[in-house]
Amino acid sequence: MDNCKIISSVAMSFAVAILLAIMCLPVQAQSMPRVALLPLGDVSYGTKGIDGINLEVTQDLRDVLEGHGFDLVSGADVEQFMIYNRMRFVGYLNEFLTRKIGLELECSYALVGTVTEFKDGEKASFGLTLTLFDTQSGMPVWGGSRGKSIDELVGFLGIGTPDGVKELQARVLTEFVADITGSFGKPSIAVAPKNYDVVDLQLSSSYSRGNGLLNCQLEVNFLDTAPESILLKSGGKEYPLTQGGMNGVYQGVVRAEKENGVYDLSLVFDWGDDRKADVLPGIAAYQVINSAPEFDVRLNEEVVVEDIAIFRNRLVMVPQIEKNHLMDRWSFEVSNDSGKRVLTEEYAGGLPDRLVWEGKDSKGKQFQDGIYVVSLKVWDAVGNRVSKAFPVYLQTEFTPLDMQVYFKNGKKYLEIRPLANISAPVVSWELLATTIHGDRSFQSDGIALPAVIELSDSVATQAAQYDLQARDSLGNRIQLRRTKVEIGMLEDGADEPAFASTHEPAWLDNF
Amino acid sequence: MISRHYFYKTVIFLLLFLQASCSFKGEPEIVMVSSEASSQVCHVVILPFIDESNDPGIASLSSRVFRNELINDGVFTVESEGAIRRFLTQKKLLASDMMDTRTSIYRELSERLSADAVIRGTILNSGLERTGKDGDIPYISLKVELVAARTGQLLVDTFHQRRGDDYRKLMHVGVVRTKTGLMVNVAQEIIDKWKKKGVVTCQP
Repeated sequence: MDNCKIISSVAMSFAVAILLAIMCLPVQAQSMPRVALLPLGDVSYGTKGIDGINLEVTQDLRDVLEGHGFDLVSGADVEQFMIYNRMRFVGYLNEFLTRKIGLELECSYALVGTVTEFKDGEKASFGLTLTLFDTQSGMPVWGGSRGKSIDELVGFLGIGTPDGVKELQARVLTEFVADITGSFGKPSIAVAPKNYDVVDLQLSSSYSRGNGLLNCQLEVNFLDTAPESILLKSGGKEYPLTQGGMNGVYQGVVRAEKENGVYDLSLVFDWGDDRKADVLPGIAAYQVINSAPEFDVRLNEEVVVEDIAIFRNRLVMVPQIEKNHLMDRWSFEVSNDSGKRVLTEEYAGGLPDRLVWEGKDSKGKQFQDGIYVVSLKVWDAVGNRVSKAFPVYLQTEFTPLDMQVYFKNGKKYLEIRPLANISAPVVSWELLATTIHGDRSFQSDGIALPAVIELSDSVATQAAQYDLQARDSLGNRIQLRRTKVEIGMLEDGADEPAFASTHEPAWLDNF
Repeated sequence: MISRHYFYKTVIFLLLFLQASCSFKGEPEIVMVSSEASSQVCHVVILPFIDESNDPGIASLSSRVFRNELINDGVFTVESEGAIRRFLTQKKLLASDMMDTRTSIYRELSERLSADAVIRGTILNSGLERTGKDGDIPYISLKVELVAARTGQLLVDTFHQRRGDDYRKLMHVGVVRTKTGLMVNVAQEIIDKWKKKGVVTCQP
């Protein structure tokens, strides 16, 4: 009997326990999972969102969620997490950080969002988009967006119309509650979760000469323990990275390959135990440049005489250089005929497709006509230099002319020729000779200078005045009117020009 | 009898009016370049949208709303925005750099994030039209492309444009007056169109 009593009392106790458990079951089902609410981003460009973060709406959302029984991680803990993990962004997450939030803040979900609209006043409007992440998988399980404006919610006779953006915001936030609650327990698909998060790998330079040294800094976060060693691999060689001063920062030096080319760097996490090493190929790259590129300069639309480009208004230079060769800076220099540098300009980056020099200095003052040496120098990303220098002739006026009369084989000739050794070719000229009484004596023209004109006896024996106009290939023009010249009688058979190195008639100065 | 006759006429008129108001005007325009390849897309990466309309904040608004609608719809596994932003930081790339398909970068993105396709969007026109007594009406036109991550091949090209008053049912009822609300509708319409055209059947 006693045994029966004991059995029945045990059975009673068991039944009561089951009953109590059943009674408690709805309470357990209603308990909310723990959620970390991260500060909301803000793209609304409203008065609250100029810095891209909206802490006020974040707090309002926190209040609404807590008011509906949500178990939220404290704001201070979330802030500490963000500081410690150097989270410099809001409004989104990645899989690694989400899982880390779950582990460190002991929560099942992370909620991030962005205020998309926030306008107060008569036309108040509010918009918010939220994403709920499962901290187990690190993947999003729910996303929702809502936007409302007062104009949309005007009630009959104005009854129930929200009074400003705060009331509008409260309605939107409350509407989200049911959506979020309904998403708890929703399955998410984990996509090969990793226990590390490479934030950045920086090289001191992406370019090097062969065998040059490149400093590397890796910023990385690990979910649990750090690997036994972290290596950078380049061209079959391995370079270890060691922990720097800050948490999660590793540093090392990589020796660049010898030959020209682009080389990928792979990152290796060697966990040391039986665990397979993780290899991240192509995490960064550098280029070895051992020699300067081929370089030449082509001149456009210029007149070339004796290998010297002659220009009047603008010298157009087209650099010919390998496009893929990365340039660091370039300079443009001009020296005068005595070798003195009269213009130096330096620029960062690569050469432009086309350069134009108008024959002026850096203050815009026009240089005098004459010969100059133009020099273009280019430095590539690793300091290799290549340059090209070439003479040019600046000619903004028609070249001075010389006119001489001479006898040859009993005949008299007039020669017109440019005085300068280098000048733009003359493309047309016209000469009209008249007597001092104004009567036309003779006329001549041509398309090139120097030119020789045979004079008849009647012309040669009379004093004459000349009208001369000419144009060169650059467009420079000269026009001389009623220029007087005395032509004397010379000895027959003299081969030398009449005025050569003895004296010149005054009118020639005018040329 | 007369009153009954008028009653029926009024009911028919109202039904016709409501039907006309509710009918879809301006469905998304879609060009399916490769229907077979697009049906194999399961895991997508959404690039931050590019704003060509000079409407401050619209690029982030539209890409985040579109992302959340796609997450909610559950037709694709959607990679987090943080993952793509980290990839861009590591590669020293801007979101706009990804608008021109560079096969090697897309392939790397695909390998790193196990993604089948990249979704990229461009906001062509967006703003709020002030219509006086009718209030502010938002409008948007955008282009959304689905690109195969491994090959860089364009799979689906979608163009869509909407105004808040496209959703008017009666008088002021139904008019969408926020950009967020409008973008939610636009995103849903694009996703529905993709579904209807068989883009999102996910047959790996």
